[in-house]
Amino acid sequence: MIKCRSVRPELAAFLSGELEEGAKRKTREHLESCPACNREMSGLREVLGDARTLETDIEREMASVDWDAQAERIASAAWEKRTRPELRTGRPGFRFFAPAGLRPVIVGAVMGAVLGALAVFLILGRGPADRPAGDRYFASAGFLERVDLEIARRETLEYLEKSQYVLLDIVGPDAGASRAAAARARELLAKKKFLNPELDKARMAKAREICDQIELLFYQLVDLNSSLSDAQRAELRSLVEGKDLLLKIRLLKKELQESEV
Amino acid sequence: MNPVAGVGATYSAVMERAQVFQREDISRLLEKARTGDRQAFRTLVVMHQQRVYLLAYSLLRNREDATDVVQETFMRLFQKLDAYEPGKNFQGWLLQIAKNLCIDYYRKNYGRRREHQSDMSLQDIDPPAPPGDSSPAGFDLRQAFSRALARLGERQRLVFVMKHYNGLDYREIAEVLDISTGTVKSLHFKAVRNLRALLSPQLGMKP
Repeated sequence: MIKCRSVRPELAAFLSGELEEGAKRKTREHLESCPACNREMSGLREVLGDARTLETDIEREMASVDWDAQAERIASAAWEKRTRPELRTGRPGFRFFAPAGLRPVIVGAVMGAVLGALAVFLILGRGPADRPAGDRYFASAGFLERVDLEIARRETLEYLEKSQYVLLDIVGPDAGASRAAAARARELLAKKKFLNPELDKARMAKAREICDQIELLFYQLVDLNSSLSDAQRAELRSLVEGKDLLLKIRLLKKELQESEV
Repeated sequence: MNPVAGVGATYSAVMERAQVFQREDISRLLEKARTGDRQAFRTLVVMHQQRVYLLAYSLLRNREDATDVVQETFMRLFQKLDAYEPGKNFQGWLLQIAKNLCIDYYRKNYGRRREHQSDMSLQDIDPPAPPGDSSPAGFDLRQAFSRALARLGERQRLVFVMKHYNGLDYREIAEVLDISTGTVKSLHFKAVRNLRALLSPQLGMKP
C-alpha cells in the first residue's frame, strides 16, 4: 500500500491522464481506500473543472482571428525586412579588421597584455621593497620616526662608549692618559652639539641628562687641559665618582642596547 | 473517479492540423524559405501560427499583445532560418521562442496593466461572459479564475496554461521549457494546488 504523501503529488497528473498504467493503477487503489486523498482529489478536480471556464474565451478568440490575413501580414513584414535589411546599429567607423579565424587569437593576446599590465601594476604598486635603488622612495611617517629613533640611539651609544673611555682615563692613575683624554673630550664636545637635537627629537630625556653631565665635565677637563695637576685630576675624579657617572653610563648603555628598534 | 480527460481537448483540431505535415515537409519548407521562397515561409506561418497564437493568447489574454508575439516569433524564426538543426522538433523550437517573448511581454506589461485595472470596473477588465456561461450576480468564476492564474508563479502558470489550454502533454511542455518531465509534473501539481488555495475563499461563494 503506497502512502498518502507519495500519492498526493501524483493527483494532478492522474486527473490529467498523464500517469503511466502502473502508477495509475496504484493511485486508483490507494484512492479507493483513502478518504483523505479522495477529498484532496475532489478539490483538485473541481479546480480543473473551473479551468474550463476560460476555454470558452480562448475558443472564441481563436475563432475570431483572420488567419490568412495574419499569415500574409507576417510574410510581408518578413520579406520587407529581407529586402531592406536593418541599418547597422554599431558605431560607424569602428571595424574589427582581422580574418575571422584569427579574431579569438587577437582578442586573447590583447586580454593577456591587459591582464599582464594589471598584474605588474599591482605587484610594483605594493610598496618600496622591490624598487630598484635610486628610484623614488616612499615610506610611512611611522617608519621614518623609527629610523630617526634608531639613529639617535646608535649615536648616543657611541657617544657614551667614547665618553666612558675618556672618563676612565681621567679617573685612572696614569697622568699622561688623562692629558690625552682631554683632546678626545674636545672631539666629543663637538659631537655632543650635533647629538643634542636628536636626543630632544627622540625624546630621550634620561640620556640627555647624563650626556649633559658628561659634557659639563668635559668642559672642565678641556679648560684644565694645559696644566692638569694631580689635585685637579683628583677633583675631576671626585666629580665623576660623586655623580656615579660611570655607573649611570653603563646603565644607560644597557638600556639603549636593549631597546634596539 | 475518472480523470478529467477532456480538459484541453477543445483544441485537438488545431493540433491535428499542425501534425499533418511531417518533419520532412518542415525541413523542405525551411530550406525553400532559406533560399528566398516567400510562399514556403508563408506556408510555415499558416501551419504554426495558431499554435503560437494559442499559447500567446492563453498566457497574455490580450489580442493585441498575442498578435505582436506571433508576428515577432515568426520574424525571429525568419532571422534564424539557418540556425535550425534538421531533426530538431520545429514546433517545440517555435513555441520556445514564443514562450520567451510572452514572458518578456508579461513582465513588462503585467504590473502596469494591473495598476491600470485597479481604476476600472470589473466589466471593463473582462468582456461579459457569453449567455450560457453567466453565473448569478456576485460571482464571476471566469474572472476569479483568470486572477488566480495571474497570481501563480511564472513556471507554474506556463505549465498550467500549456497543459490545459494548449493541449500539450508533459513531455512537450518539458521540451518547450527545457526542463525534465518530473519537474513539469511537480509544477503542474503545485499550480493546481495553489489555484485551489487561491480560489477556495471565492468558491465558497459559488452557487
